[in-house]
Amino acid sequence: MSEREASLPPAHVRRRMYELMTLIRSCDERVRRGLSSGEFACTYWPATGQEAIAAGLGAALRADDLLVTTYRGLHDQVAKGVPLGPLVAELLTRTTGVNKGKGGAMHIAHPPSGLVLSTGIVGSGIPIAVGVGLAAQLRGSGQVAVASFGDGATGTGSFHEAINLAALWRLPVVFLCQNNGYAEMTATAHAQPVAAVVDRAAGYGIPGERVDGNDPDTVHGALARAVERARSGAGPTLLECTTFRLWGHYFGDAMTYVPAEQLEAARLAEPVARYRARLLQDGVLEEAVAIEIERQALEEVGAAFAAALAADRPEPEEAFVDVYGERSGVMA
Amino acid sequence: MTIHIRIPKLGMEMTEATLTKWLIDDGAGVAQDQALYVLETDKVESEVTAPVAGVLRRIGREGETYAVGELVAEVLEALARPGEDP
Repeated sequence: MSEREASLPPAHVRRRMYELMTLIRSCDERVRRGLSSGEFACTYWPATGQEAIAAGLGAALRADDLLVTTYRGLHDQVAKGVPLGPLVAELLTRTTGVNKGKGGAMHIAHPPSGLVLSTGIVGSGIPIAVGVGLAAQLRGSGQVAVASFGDGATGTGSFHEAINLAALWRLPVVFLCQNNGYAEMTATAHAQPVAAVVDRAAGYGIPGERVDGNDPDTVHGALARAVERARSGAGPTLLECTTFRLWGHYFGDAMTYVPAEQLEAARLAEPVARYRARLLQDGVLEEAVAIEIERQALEEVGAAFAAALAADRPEPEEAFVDVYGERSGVMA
Repeated sequence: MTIHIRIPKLGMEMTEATLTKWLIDDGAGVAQDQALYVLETDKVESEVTAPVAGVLRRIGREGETYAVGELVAEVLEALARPGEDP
């Protein structure tokens, strides 16, 4: 057995990661198809290109581990196990959504799946994940909290404060940076004084690792190490996964700020087709099995959208319902 | 199958937009995700892509402003996606 083979996740984990990547890609394509044809309207930040990171995350975490992600969160949400029907219904702001259609694409939360929150302000989810990690430590629950964020977030004060505290208190947190090369329309190199996000780990005295975020096997391995370290009480890790957003910042982004050759290279390196080919080559999947996985994903996504499109939107009177868990004694 | 292409709603405040440029000829084939036309709002210029592969029939005209939801094209869907056997 070669060194590479010895470090690979087991076959059932690799197959599961391909299933997750296929489901995420199918769902993202369906959202974009509905938006481009005018079939429905929602604000949307495409996740295509970043599926491998989410797949590694979904396979490395326990069901009761906790995740805070961002508005570009569809891949993370699917991978963490948020049920697809209510997730899609939330994107389309329907009452059958995980947040009764009042959160929308930007604010997906589903605590039963461990998807604590998705936040709309860059960097804002990182301290929340640290609070979640602190709660897990105080409870002694053995849970790990993951903060998933982009490269743009690493220039915010909240990133610094959150990692500083988590490192100081050895909290069970993993800081997962999905470095997709651009913070909105600003190239990473124009926004950070260090060569790589991972270089910042030394400033907090925690380990950092930088991996190819388009390779789910590598991402899974790095995440498994970081999660194990966090769970054992040794404290947080900063993990940087390099990737690319293939459809830009928001739906409709013409990406005029991305050099053509960079976009072409990124499209060639996209993770789903690459992983499919590798699993076939390694004998983990047969062609017929891969096709069946893809067919099932399309079917599941189709059913989720059909159900969501048939559901109602919340009434205006619902706006102030569910804002507070228990209002008695909180407000006069 | 004919897929209707309607003006998308790209922002919460958006009610109308101008179709500034067609990127595909009338009657020409398009691949899924290929940019169809440029849409300009008061906030941003966007490229709207083809939801499916097929043959484009233009309805909207360059320079015209359309309300969200207005029909500007149809794509007669191809039987197979590019790269797949029919």
